[in-house]
Amino acid sequence: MGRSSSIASSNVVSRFFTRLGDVASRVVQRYLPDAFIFALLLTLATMVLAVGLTPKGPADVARHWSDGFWFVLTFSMQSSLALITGWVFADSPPVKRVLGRIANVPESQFQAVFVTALVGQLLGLFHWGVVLIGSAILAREIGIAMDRKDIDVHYPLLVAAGYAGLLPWHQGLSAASSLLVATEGHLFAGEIGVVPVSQTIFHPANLLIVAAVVLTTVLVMPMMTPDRRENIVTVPQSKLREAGTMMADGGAASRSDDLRSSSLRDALLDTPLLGGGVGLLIGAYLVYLLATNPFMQVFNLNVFISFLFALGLLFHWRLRSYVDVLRRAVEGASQIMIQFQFYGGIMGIMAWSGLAELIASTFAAQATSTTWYLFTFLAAGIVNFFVPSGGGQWVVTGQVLIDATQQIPGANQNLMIVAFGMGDQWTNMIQPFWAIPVLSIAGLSIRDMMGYAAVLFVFSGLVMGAGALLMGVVY
Amino acid sequence: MATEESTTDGATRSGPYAGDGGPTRFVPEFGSYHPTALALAALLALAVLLATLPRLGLVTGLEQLATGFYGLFAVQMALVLWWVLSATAVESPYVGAALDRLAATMPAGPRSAVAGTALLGLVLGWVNWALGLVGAVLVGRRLCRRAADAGTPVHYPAVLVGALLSLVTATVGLTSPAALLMADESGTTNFLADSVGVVPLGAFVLHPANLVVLGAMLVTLPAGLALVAPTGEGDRDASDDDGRSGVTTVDEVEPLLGDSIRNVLARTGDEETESPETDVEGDEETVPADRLERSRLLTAVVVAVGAVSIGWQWLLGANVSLLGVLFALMMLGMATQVRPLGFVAAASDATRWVEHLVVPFLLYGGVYALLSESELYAPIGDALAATGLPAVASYLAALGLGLLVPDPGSVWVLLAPAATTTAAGADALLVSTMYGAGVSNLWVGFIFLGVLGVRGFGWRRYLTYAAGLTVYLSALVGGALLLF
Repeated sequence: MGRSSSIASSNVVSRFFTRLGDVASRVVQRYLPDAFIFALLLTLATMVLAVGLTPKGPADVARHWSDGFWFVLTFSMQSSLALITGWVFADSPPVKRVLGRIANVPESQFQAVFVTALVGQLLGLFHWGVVLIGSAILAREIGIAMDRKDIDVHYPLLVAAGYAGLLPWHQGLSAASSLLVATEGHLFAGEIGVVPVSQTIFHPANLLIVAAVVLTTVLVMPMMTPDRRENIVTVPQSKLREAGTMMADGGAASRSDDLRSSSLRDALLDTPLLGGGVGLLIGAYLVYLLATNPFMQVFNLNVFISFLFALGLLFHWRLRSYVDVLRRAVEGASQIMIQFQFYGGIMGIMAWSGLAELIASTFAAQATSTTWYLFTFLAAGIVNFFVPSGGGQWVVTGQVLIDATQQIPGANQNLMIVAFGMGDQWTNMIQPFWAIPVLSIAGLSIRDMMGYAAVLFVFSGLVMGAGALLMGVVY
Repeated sequence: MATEESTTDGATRSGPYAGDGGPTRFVPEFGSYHPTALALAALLALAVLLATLPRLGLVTGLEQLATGFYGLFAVQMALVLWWVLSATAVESPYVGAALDRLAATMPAGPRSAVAGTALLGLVLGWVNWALGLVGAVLVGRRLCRRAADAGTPVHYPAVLVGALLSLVTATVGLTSPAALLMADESGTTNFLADSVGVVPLGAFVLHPANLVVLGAMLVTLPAGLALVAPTGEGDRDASDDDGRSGVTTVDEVEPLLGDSIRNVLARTGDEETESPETDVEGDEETVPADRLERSRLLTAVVVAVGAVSIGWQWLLGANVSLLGVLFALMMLGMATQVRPLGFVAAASDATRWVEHLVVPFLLYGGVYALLSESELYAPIGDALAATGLPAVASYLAALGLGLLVPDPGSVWVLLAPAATTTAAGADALLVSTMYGAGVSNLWVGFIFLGVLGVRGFGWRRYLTYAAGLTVYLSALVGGALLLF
C-alpha cells in the first residue's frame, strides 16, 4: 500500500514537471525570439531605462552604447576561439570515439538527460569555458547515439540539460569574482584586502548551497522529459548527416573539391610535422606550465584555448583533417563574433550611465544584515541580465556592493561575494548570451531549449534565494 | 560536346570546358601549389621557432609559440570582423540591385567592359574590399552578359582580373585594415601605440606616394587591361594553354562557377540563383517571436540610433579608426539586410571569408611573440634599413610575406615591428607594406579562388596577367616611394 502510493505520488511529480516543461517550452517558442533579436531588444530596453532612471540624456546614452560596443572585443575573440578550437578538437576521431562510448551509456530518455545534466554540472564546477563547449558536444553526441539506438530523446531538453551545467559556475573553481578578490592587488584590494578562496569558494555555506543547486538540476531536468511522442524533437538531420560523414571516414573526410593536389600541397597537408608536430610543441609547453605551477593559479581561458588548439592539432594529426572540420566551426562562432559586441554596448550603457550602480544601491538601501545576501543575490541576478560577464559585472557593481556591505553591521564581504556569484549565475538560465556557443554546436535555436532552462531558473532560484537568506540568518 | 565533371563544390556540371582539360585546369594547377593558410602559418611558425631557439632557449621559445597570441585578441577580433562585416554589408539584394542599375549605365563593348570593370574595382575597392570585389565581379558579369546578348564577345578573364584589382586598392584605401589599426588612439587595436604612436587615417590615405600610385593605377590599369584583352575569334592568345580562341566569354565560364560565387549571386538578389535563406525573407508570420525576428522596424530603430551615435562622434572630430568603421559596418550590414534574422544569416554565411585568418592567426601571434621576445625584430629592421630604401624594402618584404600570409592586416602585424624601427616614417611604411600585401593578393588563391569562378582562365594566361601586374605595380610603388 505504502509502496504503491509512493509510486503514484512519484508519477504525479513526474507528470507535473513534464507538463511544466511542455508549457514553458511552448511559451518560449511563441514569445522568445532569436538570441540576436533578444540582444537588440535588451539594448533598446537598457537605453530606455538609462534615460528614464539616470540623469543621462538620449545623446549621452547613445554615445555610451557605441563607446561600450567594443567592451568585450577581446573576450569575444577568446570565446570564439574557445568554441572553434573546442569544436575542431571534439570533431577529431579519438575524441569522437571516447564521446561515443560515454554517449552509449544511457539506455533511456530519462538516463540520457540525467547523464548530460550530471556531466554538465561537473564540468560547470570545473570551468565555465569547459562546460559551454564540453556539455554541448556531449549533448549532441548523446542525442546522435540515442538516435542510432532508435530511442527517442527530446533533443532540446538534452541540450538544455547540458547548458544547465553553467548554473553552478560562479560557485565553482572558475568563479570570477572569488578568484579576482583572491588575487594580490585586485581592483578592490584597498577596501577588502585579499580574500582567499577558502572564505568564498570553499566556505561551508557556498559548498552546501552549490551541492543543493547541483542536486536540484540533476533532478529537475530529467523529470521534464516529454511523455508524449508528438512532443519529442530528435536530433536535427544536419547533425546526423555530419555524424554520418565522420563515422564513414573516421573523421578524415576531405573537403569535397576537385583540386588535384600536387605533391607539395599533399606533403604540407599530410605531414604530421605541421599538424601533430606543432600541437606537440604547444602541448609540451602547457604540460610544463601546469607541472611547475599550482593549477588554479595558471589555468585560465587563454590557457584553455591553447590546450584545445594543441589537442586539436594532435588528435587530428594531419592538417588536412583539421582544416576539413574548421569551416563548420568558424561558421558556428559567427554569432559570438557579432552578438557579444551588442552586449558590450549594453555594458557600456549600464556602467557609464550609472544604471548598474543604481540597481545595486537601491537594493543596498533596503537591506538589513539578515536580508543583505538575499538582496545581493537578487541585484546581481538582475544586473547579470544586462551584463552577462561575471567578471565584468563584478567590475561594474563591485564597489557599490563592497561599500554597502561595510555600512551594514554584521555583514561579511566574503559572503556577499558568494551571494553575488549566485545571482550572477542564476539568470544565465533565462539570458541567451552564454547559450550562443551551445546552440551553435547543438544546431538549435534559443527558442527550442530556453523553456526548460527557465523552469530550472525558477527552482534553482528558490534554492539559492533560500540559501542566501539562510546565510544572513546563520552568519 | 558538353561533358560533365565534378567541381570544387562537389556538384556535377556540364559545359564546353568540362572534362576537356582546357581552362578548367587552371584551378587544379593553381590550387595544387597553394596549401591552406594554416599549413603555411605552421611552416612559418616552425621556421621562426627554429631561428629564435638559440636566443630564447627551449622553454621560452615554446612559451612564446604557445601563448604569443594572448596579447593580440583584440587585434584578431577586429581583423576578423573587418572581413565578416564588410561582406555582410555588401552581400545583400539591395546592394545587388544598386550594382545592377550601375551596370545598366555602363558601356558593354569588348574593351569598355574590361576597362569599366577594372575602374569600378579599383574605385570601389578603395572604399571597401567587399564592395570592390563583389561589386566589380557582379557588374563585370552583368556587362559580359549584356555583351553576349548583343553578340559581342567580351573576354571574361580580363574582366575578372579587373575585378581582382580591387584587392590591391582595398589595402590602401579608406578601410585599409592596417591603416585603421594604426589610427586607433585608444590602443585597443593599435598594438604599436606605445612604440610608434597613432597614424591618422588621413595621413595614410593622402600620403603623396599613396595618391600618386593610386592615380597612376586608375589612369593606366583599366586602359591597359582593355588593350591587352583579346577581342575576337581571330585574336588568338599565344599564352593560352589550351590553344583555344583568345576570347573566353561569360557563357562559357558560367556553368563552371563555384558555390562561393553562386552564394554571392544569391545573396545579392540574382534572379537565376536560389537564395540560401528564402525562409528568412518570407512574409509568413505565425507567432510573435517570428514577427520580431522579421521586424524591419526593430532594425530601423537600432540602425538609426547607431548612425546618430557614430555620426555624431565623427562630426565632433573623433578619429576614424578600425573600431569606429566596424561599428558603422555593423549598422550598415543591418540596414542592407533589412530584417534582423536576415542579418544573422548573412553574418553567419560571411564567416567563409575568415577561414584563412581565424586559426592561422594563433600561429602568427606565436611568430610575433617569438620575434619580439628574441629581439630579432631589430636586426630585421636594420637589414631593411641597410638597403638604403627601407620603404621599398618593406614593400618587397610585405609582397613576399603576403604570399604566406593572405590577410593584409596580419602582414602588418608581423612586419610592422621591424619596419618601424627604420628611419622611414610610419605613414610611408604603412603605404609600402599595404601595397606589398595588396599586390600579393593577386597571387594568393585562398581568398578568391572559389569566389570569382576563375575556372575560365588558362593558368599560363592568368600567371601572365599576375606577373605583368606585379612587375608594373612594383615599379610604380617603388618609384613613388623613392620620390616621396
